[in-house]
Amino acid sequence: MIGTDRMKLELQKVSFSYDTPGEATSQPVLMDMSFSLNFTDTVGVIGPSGAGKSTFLQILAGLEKPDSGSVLLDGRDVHRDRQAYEQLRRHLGIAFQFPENQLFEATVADDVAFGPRNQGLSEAEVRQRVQTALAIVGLPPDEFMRRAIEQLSQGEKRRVAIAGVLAMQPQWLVLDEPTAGLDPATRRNFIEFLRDYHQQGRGLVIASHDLDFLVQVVQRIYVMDQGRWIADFTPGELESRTDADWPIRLPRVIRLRRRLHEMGLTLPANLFHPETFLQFLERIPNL
Amino acid sequence: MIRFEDVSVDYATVQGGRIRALNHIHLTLDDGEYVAVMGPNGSGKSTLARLCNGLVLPSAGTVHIDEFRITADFSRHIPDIRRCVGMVFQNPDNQIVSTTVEREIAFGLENLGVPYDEMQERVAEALQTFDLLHLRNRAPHQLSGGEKQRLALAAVMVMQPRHLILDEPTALLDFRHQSEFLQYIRRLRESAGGRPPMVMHITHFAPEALFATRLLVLHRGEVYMDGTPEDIFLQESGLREIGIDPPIEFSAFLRLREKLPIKSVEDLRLRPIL
Repeated sequence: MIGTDRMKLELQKVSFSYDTPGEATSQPVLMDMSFSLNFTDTVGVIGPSGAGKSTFLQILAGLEKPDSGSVLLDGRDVHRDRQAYEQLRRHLGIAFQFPENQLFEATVADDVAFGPRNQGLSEAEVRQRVQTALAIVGLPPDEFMRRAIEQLSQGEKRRVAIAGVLAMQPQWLVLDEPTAGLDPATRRNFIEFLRDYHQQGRGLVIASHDLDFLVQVVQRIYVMDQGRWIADFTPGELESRTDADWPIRLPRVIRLRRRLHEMGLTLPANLFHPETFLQFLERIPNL
Repeated sequence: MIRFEDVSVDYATVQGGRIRALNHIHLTLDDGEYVAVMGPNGSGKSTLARLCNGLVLPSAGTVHIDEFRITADFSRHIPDIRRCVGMVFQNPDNQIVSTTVEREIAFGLENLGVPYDEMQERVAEALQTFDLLHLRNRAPHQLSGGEKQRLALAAVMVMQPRHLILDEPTALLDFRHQSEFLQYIRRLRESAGGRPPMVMHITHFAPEALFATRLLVLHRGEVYMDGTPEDIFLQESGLREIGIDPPIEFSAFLRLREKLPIKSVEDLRLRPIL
């Protein structure tokens, strides 16, 4: 674990827009957004497509500069203070929505090793990190390390790219739609991995449409629409929401629990893990 | 109709070896069927999809698409096949070529020489159907992932292909657009009249397969299960053996049928389906 145990990342009234050719005014993507991330916080971001989720992550990572407002690491503006910027780059790892477009080494092993090598780790440690990261994303290291990137499928490339970020073991892991294209078994392993990652004292920021996934891995979920926060809640607080007038759909476990409740079977709240939920059903005695 | 007659596909590896992606597939996908395809990563799903328009050639066997065919050494029908099979992939970036959303949708029609008035009409309809009207002058690279995915769908659907091959087309859509897309496919099938299309839809999201009329589960390049989604999802142990989870209401039904007064999984079905 990294020694900076009080690191804090903040957005203060950040606005951002892209220039749009053919339109007189530029389209605001983020409007007056504030946000605060402590160093072991785990946060989900959900909202309709086009809400600005990916842009928010890029701003958070210091990769885009806000039109107004600031991005602060421990109170220092990362776009004015070079040291703060470099510290942010070192401690925050981001995997984009189509990370497969960013692979550049020839083989899987070299691509995943790129980050850890730059961190100055020993070759033995790098190798260990590469193997672990590939296994997490469902690519058996023995089979994949020596494969050429250009021969991988789209889905495999995406997972190699995510492994490359995991292998750096950043303090904050930032992921954009990481479950798109994962098969159910890989998705389950990935959920376990992210829970462990947090247990080791690290933080997560994950943008996803997959609320069933988010409630299993983060402590708080923010809902974004048209460049603003419109709500935030803990997974537990979702239990009392209804679907109506809500730009997201409730997780299937919660909907099923309510269905069973209507039929007279009352189950404890906060069973977000489908496997735990099903184990609970197994223990109910027969009629 | 798409028919696989003893089709195998091998890929060469860098080390000079060969990987068998599909092994002796015999399969008929009829007009009017909506076939969901599930399977672990590497089970052959994308290879099966790519065989349907000649992006991958069979190493052995024959793929029949309506009156056309493809074999290892016969690829002359591929241009005809690509006109009748529309294909949408998970990563829309690889499919987008134009500078604005509207031009992207018109691109294929221009190439086909569709008359201007008809083209305008079809493009306007596609913009409407895929909720892209407000984005029509945007550059595709400025769109979000979900918006790009809708654009890729619009650009394929405007061509009115005979059959549709969808490789995880909803992976980046929010739930509203995902539901709208599935409703759209339903309307498309219902309104086709005498000559309905065949739709193949690869997905990792089990509830989505409940929209299909048939579910194929692939494992290690072979057809592991083939039946209605409702029947297959009740075969829980077989599915879990290869790492696939049925929608949670099916698993719950199997655990509760002796414990609650429920007769079938219908009693637990979640509405809306997704």
